[in-house]
Amino acid sequence: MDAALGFAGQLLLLSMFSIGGANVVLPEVHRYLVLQNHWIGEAEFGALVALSQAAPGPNVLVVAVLGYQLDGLAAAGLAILAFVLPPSLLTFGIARLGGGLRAKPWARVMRQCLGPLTAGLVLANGWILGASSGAGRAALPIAAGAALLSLFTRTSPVWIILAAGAAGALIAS
Amino acid sequence: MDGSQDGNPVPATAGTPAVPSCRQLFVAFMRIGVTGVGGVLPQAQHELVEVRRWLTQREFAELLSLGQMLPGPNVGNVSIMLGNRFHGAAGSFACLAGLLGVPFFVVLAIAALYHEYGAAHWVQPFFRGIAAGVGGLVFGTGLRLLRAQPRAAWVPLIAGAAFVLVAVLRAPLMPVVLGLAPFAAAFAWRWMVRSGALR
Repeated sequence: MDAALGFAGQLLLLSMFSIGGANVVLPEVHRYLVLQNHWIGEAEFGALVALSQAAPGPNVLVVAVLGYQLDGLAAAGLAILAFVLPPSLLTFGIARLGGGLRAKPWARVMRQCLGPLTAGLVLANGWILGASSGAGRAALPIAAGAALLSLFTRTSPVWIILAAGAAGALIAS
Repeated sequence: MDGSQDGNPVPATAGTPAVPSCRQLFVAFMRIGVTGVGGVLPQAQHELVEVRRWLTQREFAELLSLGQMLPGPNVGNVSIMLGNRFHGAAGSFACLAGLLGVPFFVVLAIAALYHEYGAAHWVQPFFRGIAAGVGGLVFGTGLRLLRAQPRAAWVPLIAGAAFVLVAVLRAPLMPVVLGLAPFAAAFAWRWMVRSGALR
């Protein structure tokens, strides 16, 4: 249980730095679990991260998968709580405060200016995910196909994802 | 001090959808969590904007931009803010619990399966294909968010700068946001004054 508690403690701290999502702190988690404490092997870590990316649910669940690997279900629960609770309380506090400010002119300028910035960051995130997928030359056609299907058809993302996985398996074989 | 009093999407005008119950919020975010393979952003946008119509495309972009600037899961932060807007703390809890609760057990079940069958030769390429497809889906969501912005020259300029800095030059997120935000705010302010959107 020492590993699970240590990991949870580390996540409590890291959680407040996870600006932009869990992927931002993954290098630090890797350093802690693999390089510093040798609790999880290098190849194993990569496989567990890829699995979490491909599994349903928010990307933060990667910390639950890593906790599960360390010490089973309780460790998984501890890890996700440690990672999600602190920033959630902060966001909730800001949501409570922010309600009264929404109509102020400067708040409207802020919201207006953040839209294009967000769109650019989401585009960048998609690009990085595709580039680091490990699918090699197949990555671009698969990603482009997925993007076009989602933009020009009403196909549910679930089917697009499964088709992308099937295409990856077919191209590799 | 409830956010719903001054937030714009919920006034009781004709044609606006009714305020969802905590149960409906929980179910909607559970659907987003369970069906959101490889990350939940495309699903959240699909469910909240296109299916439930609780937010317009632009409101979604606004909540998301705040959610991205705060620590924690992006869509998790969106769920907390949206839940608070409708039902305060109970709403926030319902949304976040829906988003994380069921997928937590699903992902652990998949991890257990992976230990059994991970050695099969098709498993790795399958996951890599999924990762590439997820990239494409997220990119598509970004294009949709961009399309919802006003038609003004500064919009693609700011979005393009953010994209190049983060995706091509791999600059860290925080400096990029802090560096571009003043320019974006200046452009937005000038645009809103000219178009009469401010008062």
